[in-house]
Amino acid sequence: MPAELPSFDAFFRAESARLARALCLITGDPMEAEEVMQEAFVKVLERWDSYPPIRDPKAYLYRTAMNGFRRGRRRAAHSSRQDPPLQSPDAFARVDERDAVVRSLRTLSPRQRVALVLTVMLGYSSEEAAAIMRIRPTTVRVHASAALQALRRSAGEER
Amino acid sequence: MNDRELLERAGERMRQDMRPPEEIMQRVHRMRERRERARKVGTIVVAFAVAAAGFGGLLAAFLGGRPERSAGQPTGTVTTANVRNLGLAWTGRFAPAVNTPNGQYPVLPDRPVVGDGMVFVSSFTTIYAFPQDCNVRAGLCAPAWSYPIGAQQWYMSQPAVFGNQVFVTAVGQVSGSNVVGSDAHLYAFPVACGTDGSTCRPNWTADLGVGQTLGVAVSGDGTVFVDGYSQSTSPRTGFLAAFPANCTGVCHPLWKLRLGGAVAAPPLVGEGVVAVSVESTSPSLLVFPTACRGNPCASTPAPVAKIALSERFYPKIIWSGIIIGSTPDSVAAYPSACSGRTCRALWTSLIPDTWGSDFSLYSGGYVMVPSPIESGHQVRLAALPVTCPRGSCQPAVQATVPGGRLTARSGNVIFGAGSGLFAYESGCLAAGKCPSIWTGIKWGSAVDGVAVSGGTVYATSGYSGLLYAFDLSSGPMRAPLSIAPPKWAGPPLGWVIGAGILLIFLVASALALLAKPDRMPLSVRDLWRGPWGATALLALCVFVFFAIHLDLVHLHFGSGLVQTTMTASMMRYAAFVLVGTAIATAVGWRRLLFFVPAVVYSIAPGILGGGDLTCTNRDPIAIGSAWMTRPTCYGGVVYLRQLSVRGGLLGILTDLALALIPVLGLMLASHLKGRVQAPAPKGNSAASTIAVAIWATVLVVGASQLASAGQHPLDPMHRLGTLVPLFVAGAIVGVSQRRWWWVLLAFPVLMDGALADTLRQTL
Repeated sequence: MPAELPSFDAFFRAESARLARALCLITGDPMEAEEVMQEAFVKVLERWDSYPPIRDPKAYLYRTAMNGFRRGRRRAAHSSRQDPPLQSPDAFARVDERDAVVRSLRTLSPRQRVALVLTVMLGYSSEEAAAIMRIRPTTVRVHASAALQALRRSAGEER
Repeated sequence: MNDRELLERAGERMRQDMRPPEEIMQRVHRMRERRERARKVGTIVVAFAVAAAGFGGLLAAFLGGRPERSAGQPTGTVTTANVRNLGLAWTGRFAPAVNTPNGQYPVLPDRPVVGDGMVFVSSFTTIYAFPQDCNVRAGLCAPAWSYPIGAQQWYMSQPAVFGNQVFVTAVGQVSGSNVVGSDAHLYAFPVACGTDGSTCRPNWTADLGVGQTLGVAVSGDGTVFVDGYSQSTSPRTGFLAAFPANCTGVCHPLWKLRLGGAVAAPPLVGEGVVAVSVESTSPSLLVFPTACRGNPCASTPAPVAKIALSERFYPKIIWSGIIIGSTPDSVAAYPSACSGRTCRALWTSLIPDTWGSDFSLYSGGYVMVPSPIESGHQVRLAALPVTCPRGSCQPAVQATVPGGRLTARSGNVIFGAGSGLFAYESGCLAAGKCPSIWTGIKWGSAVDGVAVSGGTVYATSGYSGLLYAFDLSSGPMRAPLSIAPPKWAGPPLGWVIGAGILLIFLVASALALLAKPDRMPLSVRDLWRGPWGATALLALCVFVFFAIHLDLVHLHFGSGLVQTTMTASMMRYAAFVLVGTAIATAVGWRRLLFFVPAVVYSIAPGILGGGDLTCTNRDPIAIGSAWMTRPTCYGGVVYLRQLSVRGGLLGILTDLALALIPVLGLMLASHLKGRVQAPAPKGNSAASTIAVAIWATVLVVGASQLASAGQHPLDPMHRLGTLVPLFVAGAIVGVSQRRWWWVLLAFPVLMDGALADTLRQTL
C-alpha cells in the first residue's frame, strides 16, 4: 500500500496550479487546458490507492496529461479534416494574442511546446521529458532548443 | 526575467481564465465515481454473459440433441448405387434417456437381431421387440412388446430367433448373496407376443442353475443350445445344454454335458454341429452333432472333434467344415470334425485383438476380420481365405476402413460400426483403403451393434439407449446423426456443485469489483506473463505432448477418444489455476500467485473428490468434461471408459467458461482503467512455497484418507506422488524468480492421472 503518499486532495492542491500553467502554455487555450487537466487528475485518482502503488504520482500526472493533450490534438485534427470549424471572433483569444509569449508559442509545433514547458518551465531533464513524451532525449533537446530560441526572440520584442 | 519566469508569468495569466481549483477537484471526484459505476455495470454484464455461456454449455451437454425422426417402410436391398439414399426411418428406445441415480449405465445392447418381421434388442435387464415396419407418427417407435427379466438380473445375451420364437439367456444375482452366485435362465418368447408394448409372457423357461451363461444359438432342426459355467464349483465347471425349441412350461434339457472348465464364448452352431470352447488349464474346442439320437434323446452325443488348444478361443464362423475364430492375439481355424492327429489348427493368422470383432463370411470363401489399428479411429479389415494352406495364413487383401470392429454386410456394401456408423464398398479392399460412402452416425458416437436386413440398417447404442433404423425410403440424410450424451437422472449433485462453483466465481468477481475495485492490477498484457503465461505454456506443453505421443496413447487404448479425456483433464487443471490466480489477485494475495497452480491442483481433489469415475460413483470434481465420460459396467466393474468428442469439448469449454468468469471481469475492469505491470516474485517466495506445500499436503492427505474411508477412489499415495514433484517445481520457481520457469509446473501435472496410468500400462 502506498502509505507514504499524501491524500489525493493534498496532491491536487499542490500540483494543480503548476499543471494548469503548463497546460495553458502547451494548449494555448485555458478551456482545453482545464479539460486535459481534469482528465489527468481523474486517471491519477483511479490509480491513487491501487496496487501496485504509483511510484511517482507527479510524473504519472504529467505523462497522463501530455498523453491526453496529444490524444485531444489527434482527435481535433481528425474532426477538423472532416468538418472544418468556423472561424469565430473570440474575445479571450484576442486578449491572448496580445501576449507575445503566447503568440510565439502558437507558432511552435505541439511537440516543441511540450518540450519547452517540460524542460524549461517545469525543470525536467531531457531524459525525464523524453520518458513523458515517449521520444528520444536528443529529440527533446532539439525541440526545446528551437522553441527556446523562438521564445527569446519574442521576449526581446516584448521588452 | 529568465525564460522560466517568462513562461510561468504567461501561463499564470492564462490560468486566470480557468475555473477555481476547488471546483475542478470536485468535478474530478464526480467523474471518477461515474466511471467506476459504468465499469462495474459493464463488468457485471460481461461476467453474467460468460456465466450464461457456461450454463449453456452445461445445458447442451446434459440435454443433448434429439435424433431426427421420420417414417418409412423397409424396402429393397442396400447396394453401392443406393446406399446414399439411406435415411433415418425411426428410432426405438430400449433404455431410458437418463442415467441411473448411481451413475451406472443400465444397458449395454448387443447386436440387434432381425427375424420374423421384428427387431430384437436385449439390454442388461430387458428384451425389446420392435416391428420392422414401424410406422412412426409421433416421435419414437414404441416396442411391440418387452420383457424385463427383473431388477436382480444384470446380463442378458444376444437374442436368437428360430421360427416364431426368440430365445435369450439371462443371468442375475442370487437373492441374498453378492456377486459370487448367480442364477442363469433360458427364456423362449413368441415373436408375435404383442403389439401394444405389453410385457410378454414367455412360452417356456429353463433353469440353467447357479452360474453364468454366455449365449444361446439355435440349430436348423430346432434345437436350442446354451453354454455356460457353474460358479458353485472350484475350479469352475462348464456345461453345454440342448433344449427343444417347441418346449412348454418349465423346460428340461434334451441333454446337458459337463465340461472340464468354464466356457470361453457362446456356442457356435452351423453345418450340423455345435462348437463350444472350454477355457481351463488345458483349453479345448469341442464339437458335437446337433442332431439327437432317439426321441427323447437316448444319450448325450459324442464329440465329433476334440481339439486341444494352446490358449482360449472364441469360435465365430463355421464354413465348409472349418471353424474360424479369435484367440487373444491371433485368428485361428480348426476342423469341425477330426480325430487323432488331424485335430489341430489348420492355420493361424497373426491378427491381434479380434476377440470383440464381428467376423463375416464373403463369397469365394473369405472371412473378413476387423481389427483395431494403432493410430487413428479406423480399423483394418483383412480378408482371410478360409481354405488357407496349413500353417500361417496371410490376408489375401486388407484395407483400412472406417467405423469400428462391428460389421454387417449387404451385397458389396459393408457397414462398419463402433465409433459411429459408416458404409464402404467391399471392392475397395484391394486398394488398401476404403473411404466412407455413407455416414449414418457421426464418428465419435458410440454404436454397440449393427445389423442389416433387406433395405434397412439397424444400429444400437447404449449411449443414447436407442435403436436406429435407416432405410432407403427415408433418405438421403441431410447430416449424420450425432448421439448425444445421456441425461443425468440421479440427485442433482453435479448441478449443485456446478452452481456452487459458479457462485464462488461470481462472488470472487463481485468481491473484486465491489469491495476493492482499485486493486485489480491485471491487464491484457499480463495474461502472457507470470502465472497466466505459465498456464498458456502448460496448455502448449499438453498439446505438444499429445502430438508426440499420439501413437503411444493409441497403442494402449486403440481409441482416439482417450486423448480427449486427457486433454479435458489438463484443461480442467488449467481452469483451476486461472480461477485460483484470479481470486488471489482479486483479494491481494500476490505472493500466493506463484503457488496457485500447485495449491489449487492439490486442494481441489481433496475438497471435491478424486476426479475419477466408477460404476457406482461420480466424483464431484467432474465439474465439466468428466460429466460426459461414459463407463461401461459389467456387474459393477468398469470395463471401459469412453468419452465422446463432443462431450469432451463441451466439457472443456464449460470448465473454461466457468473459470473465465472472474478473469474476464478483472480483465475488463483493468482494461477500462489502464494498464499496469504485475510485480516480479521477490523476497520470501521459497519460504512461503514450503509453508504452503506443507499445509496443502497435510490437507490433501487428510482429505484423501477421509475420502478413502468413505470408499472414494482417492489414493493418498497417488496424490503424494503428484504433490511432491509439484512442490519441488514450485520451490524452484519461487527461488529462481524467473517467470518462464513456471513451465516447470507443467511436467508433474503431465505425469499425473490418466497419462501416468497410460504410460505405466503401456510400458
